Amino acid sequence: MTVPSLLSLAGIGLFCTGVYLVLTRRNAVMALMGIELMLNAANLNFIAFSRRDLPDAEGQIVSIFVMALAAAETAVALALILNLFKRQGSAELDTASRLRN
Amino acid sequence: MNPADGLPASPGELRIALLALGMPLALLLGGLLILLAGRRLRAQGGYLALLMMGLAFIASLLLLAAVWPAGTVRAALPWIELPGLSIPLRWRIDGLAALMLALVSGIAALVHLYSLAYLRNERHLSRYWAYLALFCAAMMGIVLMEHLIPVFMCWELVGMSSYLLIGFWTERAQAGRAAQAAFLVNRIGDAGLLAGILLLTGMAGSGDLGRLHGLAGSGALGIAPGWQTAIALLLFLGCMGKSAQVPLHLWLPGAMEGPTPVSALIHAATMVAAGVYLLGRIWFLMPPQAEAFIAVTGGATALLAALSALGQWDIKRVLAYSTISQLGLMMLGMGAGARDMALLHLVTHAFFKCALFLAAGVVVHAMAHAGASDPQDDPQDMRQMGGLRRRMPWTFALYLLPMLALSGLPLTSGFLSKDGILAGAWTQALHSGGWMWPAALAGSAAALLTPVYMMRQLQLIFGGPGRGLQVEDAEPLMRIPLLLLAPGSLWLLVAFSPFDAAQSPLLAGIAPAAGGGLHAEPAVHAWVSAASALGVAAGLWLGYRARAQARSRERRGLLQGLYLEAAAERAVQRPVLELAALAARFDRRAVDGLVNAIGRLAVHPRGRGPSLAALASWLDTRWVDGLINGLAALAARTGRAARRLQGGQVQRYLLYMLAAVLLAVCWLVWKGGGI
Repeated sequence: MTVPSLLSLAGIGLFCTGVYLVLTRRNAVMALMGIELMLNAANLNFIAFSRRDLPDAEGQIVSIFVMALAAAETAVALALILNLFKRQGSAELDTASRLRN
Repeated sequence: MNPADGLPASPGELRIALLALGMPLALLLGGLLILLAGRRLRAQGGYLALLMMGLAFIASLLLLAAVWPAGTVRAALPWIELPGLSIPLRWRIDGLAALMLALVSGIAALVHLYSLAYLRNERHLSRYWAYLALFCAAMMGIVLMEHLIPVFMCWELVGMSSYLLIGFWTERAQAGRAAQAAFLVNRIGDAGLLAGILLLTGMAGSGDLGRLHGLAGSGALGIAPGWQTAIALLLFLGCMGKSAQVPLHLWLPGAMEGPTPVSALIHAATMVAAGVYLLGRIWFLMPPQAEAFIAVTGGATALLAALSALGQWDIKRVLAYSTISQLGLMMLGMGAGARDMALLHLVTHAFFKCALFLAAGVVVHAMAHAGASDPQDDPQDMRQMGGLRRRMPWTFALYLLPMLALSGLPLTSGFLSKDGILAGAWTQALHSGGWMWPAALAGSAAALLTPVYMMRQLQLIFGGPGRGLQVEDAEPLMRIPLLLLAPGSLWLLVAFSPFDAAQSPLLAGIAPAAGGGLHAEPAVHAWVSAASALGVAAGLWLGYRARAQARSRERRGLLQGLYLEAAAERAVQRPVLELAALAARFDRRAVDGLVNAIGRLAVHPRGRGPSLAALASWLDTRWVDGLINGLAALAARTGRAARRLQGGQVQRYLLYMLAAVLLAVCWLVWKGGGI
C-alpha cells in the first residue's frame, strides 16, 4: 500500500460519505456539509495523484484552487440557506419546492 | 333579316338592348330580394315592388320611343355552346315587343298599386310580390327572346308562376285544386310546344325566329309540307294551352280562385296574351291548313265560351269566360290572316279587361266586408248583389265603360279591334271559303252574345232595386288604377277615327312584326260594322231584359260551361291524377320496398341480427375505439410516469443525476476501456 493509493482510498470513502449526506439529510446545512466533504474528497485525490507524479505540482495547485472555490461556495450557500430559513421558518430541503409549480 | 351575332356596335342600340334585357333581370333580382328580406320589409316590400314595376314601365316607354314604329334592335350573347349545338341568348326589340313590354309593365304596375290596398291584410305578402315579379319577368322574356328555346323556358316560368299565384291562398283547398288544374292543362299545351320546337330546330337547323323568318321568306326552310303542318299544329297546341282555347280552356275559369289582382294580370297582359303573341311571332311557319285549324279553333272557342258565360252566377267566372271568348276571336283573326287586328285586339282587350277585373275586385271586396257576419255568403255570387249602383257610383261608372268596350259598342276601342278581326275573317271566308265560313260565323255569333252576358252581369250587380247592402265604394288607392285604365276603353286609344282601325297609329308598330295584315274589303268592313253596331245594341237590350228571369232561372248546362268542365275533368284531369296515384302506388310498393330492403340490410329494425350497421358498430367499438382509447391511455400513463420524476424535491433530482453519471461512467468504461 503506497501513500497515494491510501490517499485515494480515503478520498473514495469521503466522497461516498458526502454523497450519502447530500442525498439523505433533510437539513440544508447537513447537505452543504456533504458537498464540502465531496469537494475535499476530490482534493485528496488531486494530492494523491500529485504525489505519484512528482515533480509535477499541478495537482497541488488545483487543490489550493478548489479550497478557495469551496470557501466562496460555502459563503454563497450559507447566505442562500439563511434566506431560505427566513422565508419558510426552517432549512428543510423537502419543503423548499415552490419552484415546482 | 340578318340576325346579329353579338351586341350591337352603335352605342345607342347597345343602350336599348341592355336596357331591354336588364329589365326582366332586375325584376327577378328585386323579387328575390323581397322574398329574402320579406320579414324585415313587411309592408315596404309592396312599395319596393311597385317602384320596381313603375321603373320598368318607364324603361319600356323609353324603349318604345326609341324603336317606334318600325325600328328593330337585335343583340345576342353566347349562352349554350356545345359541339353541334349552339343556342345563343338572342333578343330583339321592335315595335311589337316594345308595345308588349309597355303593356305588361304598365298593367302590372297598376295591379301592384291596386294590390297594395286589396291585399293589405294578407300574410305572406312578400311571397306575393316575389311571384308577381317572376311572373312579369318571365312574360317579358317571352316578349324579348328571339330563339325558341329561351322562349320556351320563359314560357314554362310563366306557367309556374301562374301556378304559384293562383294557389296563393294555400289554406283554401279550392285554390290548390285550381292551381293544379291550370298547371296540368298548361303542361299538355307545353308538351306540344316543346315537341314542335324540337322538331323545328332539328329539321330547319335553327330555332332562331329571325333566321327562320329569313329561311321561310326565301323558301329554304327545307321541311316537307306534311311535317310543316305537324310542327305548326304542335306549336299552336302550346298557344292553345296558354291562351285558353277549347278544349284546353278550362283552367282559366278555375284560375279565378287566385287573388283578383292576379286574375286581372293573367287576363290582361301576362299569361293568356302569351299564346296570341307567340302566334304573332311564328305566323310565317303556319301553312294554310294550320291557319284554317287555328281559325276554326278560335271561332269555336269564342262561341262556346260566350254561351258558357251566359249562365254563370260568379262575377269573376263571367269575366273569365268572356276572356276566353275574346281570346277565341284573337285566334280567329290570327287564323284568318288579320294578325295585326288580332294583336290590336290583344292590346285594347288588356285595358278594358284589366279594368273590369279590378272593378269586380272592388265589388267582391265590398261584398266580403258587408257579408262578414255571415260566412256562408259567397261574396262573388251575383245573386247576392243588386242595386249597387247607388252605393258605389264610382265603381259603377268605371265598370260601365270597359263593359261597353268589351261588348263592342261603337266609340269604344273594343268595337274597332273586334270589327277589324271579324271583317278580316269574313273577307278571308269570301276569298278562300271552306272552313273559314263556320269560323267567321261562330266568331260573329260570339261577338253578338258578348253584350248579352255583359249586360246581364251589369244588371245583376248594379241594377235593380237596392237590397240594403251596407257596402262601401272603392277606396282611393283602388280607384286610381281604375281611373287610369278605364279611359283606355275609348276609341281614342286606337285611332282618331271611331269607325275604322285601319289607320290606327298602333298598327304602324304592330304590323311590321306580324308580317303585315289582311286588307279587309271595304264593303265587307262596312257591312260588319253596321251589323255589329246594331247587334250590340240589340244584345244590350236583350241582356237588360233578361235580368228579370235571370235571378230565378237556373241554366244548368250553361252554368257548367256546357258540361265541358266535367268532361274535361273526366278526360284530362282524372287520368292524370290517376296516373299520379298509380305512380304513387308504384312508389310505395316497388320503390319503397327496395328502399326498405336496403334499409333492412343496413339496419335491423330491432337492433338484433346481422346487418351492416351491427358490423360497423362492432368494428367501431372494438377496433376503432380500442385503438383510440389505447393511444389515449398510453399517453396518460406516460404522463403520469413523467410527472412522478418531477417531484420538486431537490434530492431526488440529485439522485437521478448521480444515477445518470454512474451509468455514463459505466458505459464509457465498458466501451473504451478508459475514461
